[in-house]
Amino acid sequence: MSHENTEYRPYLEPKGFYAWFWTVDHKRIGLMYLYAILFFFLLAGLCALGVRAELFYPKTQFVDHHGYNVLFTLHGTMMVFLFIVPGIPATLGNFLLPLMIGAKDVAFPRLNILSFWVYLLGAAVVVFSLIGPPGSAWLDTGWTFYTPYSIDSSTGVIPVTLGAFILGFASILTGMNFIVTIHKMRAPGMTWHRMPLFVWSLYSSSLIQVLATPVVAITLGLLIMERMLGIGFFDAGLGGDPILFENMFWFYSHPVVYIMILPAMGVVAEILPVFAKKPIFGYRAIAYSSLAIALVSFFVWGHHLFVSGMSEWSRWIFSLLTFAVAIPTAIKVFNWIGTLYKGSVLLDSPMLYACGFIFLFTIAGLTGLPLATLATDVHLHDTYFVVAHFHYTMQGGTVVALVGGLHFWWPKMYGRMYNETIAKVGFWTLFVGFNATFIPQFVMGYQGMPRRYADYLGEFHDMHFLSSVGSMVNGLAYFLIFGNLIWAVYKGKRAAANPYNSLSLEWQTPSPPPLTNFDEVPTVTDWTYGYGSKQA
Amino acid sequence: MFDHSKAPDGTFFNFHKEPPVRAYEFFKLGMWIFLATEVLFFGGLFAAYFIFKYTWPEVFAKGSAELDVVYGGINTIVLLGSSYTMALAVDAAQRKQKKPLFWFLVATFGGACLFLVIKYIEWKGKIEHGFLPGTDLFFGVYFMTTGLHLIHVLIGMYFIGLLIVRAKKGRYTDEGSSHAGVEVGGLYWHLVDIIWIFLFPLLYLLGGNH
Amino acid sequence: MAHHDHHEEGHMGHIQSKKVYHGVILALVVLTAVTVAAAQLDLGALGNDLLAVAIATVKASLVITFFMHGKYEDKVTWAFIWYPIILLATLLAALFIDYGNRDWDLFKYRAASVTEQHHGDGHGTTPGQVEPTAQGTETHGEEADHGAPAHKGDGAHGEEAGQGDETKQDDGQPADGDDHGQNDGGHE
Repeated sequence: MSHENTEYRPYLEPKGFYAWFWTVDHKRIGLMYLYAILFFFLLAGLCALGVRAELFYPKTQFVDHHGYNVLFTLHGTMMVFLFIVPGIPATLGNFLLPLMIGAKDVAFPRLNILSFWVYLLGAAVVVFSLIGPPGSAWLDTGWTFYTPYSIDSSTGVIPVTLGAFILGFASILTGMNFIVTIHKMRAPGMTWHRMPLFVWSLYSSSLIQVLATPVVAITLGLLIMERMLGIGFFDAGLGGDPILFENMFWFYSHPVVYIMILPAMGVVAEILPVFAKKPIFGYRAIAYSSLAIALVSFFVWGHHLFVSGMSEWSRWIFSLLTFAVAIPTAIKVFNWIGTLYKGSVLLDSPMLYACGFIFLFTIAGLTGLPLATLATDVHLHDTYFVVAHFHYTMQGGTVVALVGGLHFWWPKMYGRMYNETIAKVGFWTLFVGFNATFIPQFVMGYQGMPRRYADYLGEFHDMHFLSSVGSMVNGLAYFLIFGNLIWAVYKGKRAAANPYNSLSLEWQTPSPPPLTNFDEVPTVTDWTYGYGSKQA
Repeated sequence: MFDHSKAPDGTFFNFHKEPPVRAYEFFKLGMWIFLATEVLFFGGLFAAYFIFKYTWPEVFAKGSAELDVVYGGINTIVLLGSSYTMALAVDAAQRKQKKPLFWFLVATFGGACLFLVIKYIEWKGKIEHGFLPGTDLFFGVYFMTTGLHLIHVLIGMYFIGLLIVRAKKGRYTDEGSSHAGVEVGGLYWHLVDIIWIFLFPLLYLLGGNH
Repeated sequence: MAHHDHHEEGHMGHIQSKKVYHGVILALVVLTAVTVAAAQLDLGALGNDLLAVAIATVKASLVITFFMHGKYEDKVTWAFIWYPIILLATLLAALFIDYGNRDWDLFKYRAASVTEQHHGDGHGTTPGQVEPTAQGTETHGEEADHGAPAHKGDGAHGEEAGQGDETKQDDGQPADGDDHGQNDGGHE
């Protein structure tokens, strides 16, 4: 059915600014979110390259120490709040959720576009206050805004945290929408145990979004009040406690990393069976482990505070629970590998990304264990080991899954195919560049190189140099990857409705799907992964 | 400005809506989820309250004694009462009784206004006596919690106001109409009441005898 | 679960007798008086708090069950009533376990020693540290001693919790805004 028609343009009707800005179509909202987060990914990525560029050599070359602090603050703040927290749920989630459950849209379409407007507002506030009015000092507290520096700092802490507060609303609204949609709008016959695993992961992630975000909202709100009214919640000199800030901040910020990773794992669970032509191994285990991870994620935040002066009891309880959260995660890894075993594997680019995810995320998870262990964390806390660990989870995990998912569903979203060769080259460039960037950082970390330092001792020079070279390759890869995808929208070959012969509902619609997705609501009689048992 | 009836299909003012019974279930669950977020939002503040209270018990006892239990108690009863009238408003809407719905909503709004007045008197008194948010941790917590609660009262009043206007037009009681808006607004208002139910003893009654 | 989605309830919500509302508001007012009376008892700080919270919980339960029609709501709704309660209980429990078991005396001792000692004697802190306060003081920075025995109550290093941000470390680097501040042996 695919033909060379390069005249085809998706999303022509309705067109114009009004049709996009006021849309309540979940597909368009998902795409707008995609463009927005990719824009901030670019900005924050450039900041990262700035950070790495400065670190080619010891001493400072391009920026002074304050400037360096600004660079990693910009990088972290934009990456976390503007890119990765909305991340997969707001983009692929919005686009695919109703399609995957056989619904015409989400439960609250107007709330959906509202969440996007709120996101834009929050993003504007954050970006403009990171840099502040002309002549002011740019924010340098780090994305974690630890007190007391964030109270005393003369930079734009209030507007940035206000922006983060606003962004939290966008996250909550999306989460609320997804939860109600999944509970109430599944097609007839689609029981919970026939839902795609991506939907299970979105549900789990949405639970975290609605339950964790309010706590960071109040934390940042109190920080703002403290700066404005001099209250002293987090100021030891006034009877308060900076560690209370850390506790409340990480109460959200730990679960938020599971918002980042659960949908990514869901994407992988969708890609693997299609490209292995085998049912997913251990469907219920994967489904319930998503919920288990969401649950346990709320009980481990203290592992960010091990060396802060917390009591001993707290420390070992949190350490124990942190080990516990690794268990459902490991269950997933084994099930993914079980899916590949004896499958008829096709290593097209989405599959490369899915397999890359398994490899990189396994490294991420394993390197989390020395951080969860009290004795070793004492040595590794605030070193490059931590930096490498979370980049393996966030970039090696979430970003790789996002990119893989974009490749997988690009034909569905735009009706056009990207260039497979460039996609593969892009993957391998990314894989090489990413590992070259961060493996040296593991090494430096356990050798004692502290994080957030603009300067460093000569003994770390080789590793830093290698890491910085790797980062340039890492960055280059994204230009290849996204260049390819963007090219595809305008010039790619017209794609069929179901180029991979997937059984999932979203593939049973045209590419791209029409406004109300399904001409008639489908009736579901089997789970989504019946590969090999029927003619796929 | 823009003629929304000509809006393209699938946009904010022109999209396929769910039938009323389904929409009702959706909105209720959605509001309960939102209320959960509000509880967690205030909960963080309550957590800070407890930590500071146990760290500085004398500061909290002394600060609490400065608060006027009578005003606090009256405000508690006022909010409980407005919760009562709100519940009766929802009941009237369910029974499609337009006039009782309207007056119960007005009574609810009135209760909220009274709450505002008393809160204003209290705050004014405190500030005039030099008790500010920055004075000590008790008053920091006091102003933060009552202030945040006050913001939610104002938001609630806005929605009740909307309900009043629409109820008068028969939006919730006419033939074939849905009362979902009243019920969902009611849920929010009850939460505002519940928060105050917890705030009253924890802020006002620490000093023991009054 | 699927059956729930597609059969239209003939009515929207359950209509309960108005008497229920009258009864509940009466109970709520009475319980408010009980709250005030209970505050006059002396059960210790924790006892009074627990009692006050317990009575408030009863009141809240009445509002949820009857005013908010919780009685007629399904399990999914009740899940979202319980989730925040469980999470807040967790947060409070964790905070109390932490604060309750900190070694406050040790902190007071260190606070006293900060004002007297200078950086460089191995146990002081970098200059510009926050001044010591009474209870409620936070952690103090310490030189990390690789191989030094862990100090009781804090696991190994204390940390300058975000302090020392504007101060320079001894190797001339300004500390950053993170609660980092440790100098390891490699920086001598």
